[in-house]
Amino acid sequence: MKKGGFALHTAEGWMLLWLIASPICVFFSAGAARFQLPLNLMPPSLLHPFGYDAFGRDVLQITARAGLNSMGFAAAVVVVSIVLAILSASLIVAAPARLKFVFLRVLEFLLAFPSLIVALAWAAIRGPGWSTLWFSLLIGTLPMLIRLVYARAQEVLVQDYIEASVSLGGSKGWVLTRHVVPELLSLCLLKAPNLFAQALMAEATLSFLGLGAPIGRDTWGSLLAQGKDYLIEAPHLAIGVGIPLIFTVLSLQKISESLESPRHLG
Amino acid sequence: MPQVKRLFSTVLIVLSIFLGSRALIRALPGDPVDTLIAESGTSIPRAVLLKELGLDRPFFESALQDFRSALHGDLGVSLLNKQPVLPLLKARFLNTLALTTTAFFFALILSMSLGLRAAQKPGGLADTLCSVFGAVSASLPTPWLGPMLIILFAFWIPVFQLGDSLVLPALTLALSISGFWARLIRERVRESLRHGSAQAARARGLSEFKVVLKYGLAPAAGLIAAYFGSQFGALLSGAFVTEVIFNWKGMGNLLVNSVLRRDYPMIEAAVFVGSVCAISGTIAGDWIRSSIERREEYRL
Repeated sequence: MKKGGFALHTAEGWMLLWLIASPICVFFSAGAARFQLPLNLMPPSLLHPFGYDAFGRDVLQITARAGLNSMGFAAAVVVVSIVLAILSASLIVAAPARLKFVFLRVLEFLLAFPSLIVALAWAAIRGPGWSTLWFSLLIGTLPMLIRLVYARAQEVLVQDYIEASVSLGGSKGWVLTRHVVPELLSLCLLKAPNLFAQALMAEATLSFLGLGAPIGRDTWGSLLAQGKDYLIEAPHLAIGVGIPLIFTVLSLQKISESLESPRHLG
Repeated sequence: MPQVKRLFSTVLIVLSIFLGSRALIRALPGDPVDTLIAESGTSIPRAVLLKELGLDRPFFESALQDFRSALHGDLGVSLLNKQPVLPLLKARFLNTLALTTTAFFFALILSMSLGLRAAQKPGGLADTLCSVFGAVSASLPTPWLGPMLIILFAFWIPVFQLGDSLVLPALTLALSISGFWARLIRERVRESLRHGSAQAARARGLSEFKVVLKYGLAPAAGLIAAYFGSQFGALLSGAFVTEVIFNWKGMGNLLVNSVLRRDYPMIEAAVFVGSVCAISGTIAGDWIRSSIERREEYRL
């Protein structure tokens, strides 16, 4: 992988920097961000490169804090959806033919369904909050992942070593846990950066609409929403808040591309 | 009978969406009407609400009644302004349709011109541009891109008027989807150009443009069309956010506002119409693909 090596290192560097920098940033701001109302909507300066927001908070600092929220949430979503996807794909594979048919039709139905509308419907019942975010992210990413994982499981199951294992007396559960699940896990890990990026984007979108993160919890989406409210008076707000999100998603794309390159697939 | 089967499953899906959307209000925690009154602060008396929302009858009975009135064009009455839902929804739907159609054509022009050119010359300038554009457009969140376009083209370089202009929202939407489209077109066209027929056509002296269209794009058209169809749902979801940013009076804006203000009859109707639109996009895409590829099926 000579080509794109530099971009890949930049991407990895960015993620690493973010992982180290944002906790430090939050740690040094010691608890709540400082509200310096006289400074509200101050444009960027050398010391405060992102300027101040409507409540007189340093935008760089609150962006870092919001990033911690958004990223933590996205990471949790990735882990949960990988576990759920592997569980349900194994369930479908192991199910008797008639049940399998039902499962697959349900899966197709979920795949065809626009996830944002489902999320909005859910928000209409539960109101904005973490549960809405969880639900809508899972409904958005899970069906696709399950289908992918299920397809891989079918591929694995026709391999010779599975047949060997069965003929040696391996039970269904043994074959699944011993041979199939590790394969599925490695596929999921390949897809993880992509999922992470998807979760970040979806969180930003929903929180932007006011349906995501609860009020008082800054995430990248809710900061973007604030930026939109002060678009004319303080464009630096909208610009600055989006930049870390964009770089993160770009980096994740680059990393996922390099993971999926033939070198890794063997 | 694939057609009959498909029709049957479509009807089944639409029916289940209808039932699902009608069941929304019953999923409210506690007593639905009490929750509704508490959260929306509506002045409509409780008994009227019960009857209006069909909560005084068992679910399937009221759903059947709703279905009958829906066939007559009555989708309920809004809790906010006490107007029938359907006329408003129709007007908003047409606005959304105008936005998505414009965006669709923008995206089509953008991705076709970039993707086809990139497919012609692997490793060329257009190819690199296509990759970069694909990566960037996939990582620009709509809630960021929209405001940026407003700052750029409505304030710093005042080209477009805000408010009634269709161009900026359509451009936002088009930019966020066309990156992936361009890459898809590039891959598919390049794949079909790899067959010998393209080489033979070049040897016969056909112009490069014609070769790309006839031997590159045409064989891949089915897959691309199916993908575009299935993208319609995504386009609709993207349109929701874009509509909120640009305050475009479309269905997404309506749905988001109804959710925030708890106008359940409106939510139910909008969820139903929106999902049916998105799903029919997917089905239309499938249908286009199968009708284009039928020739090849017969050959086998």
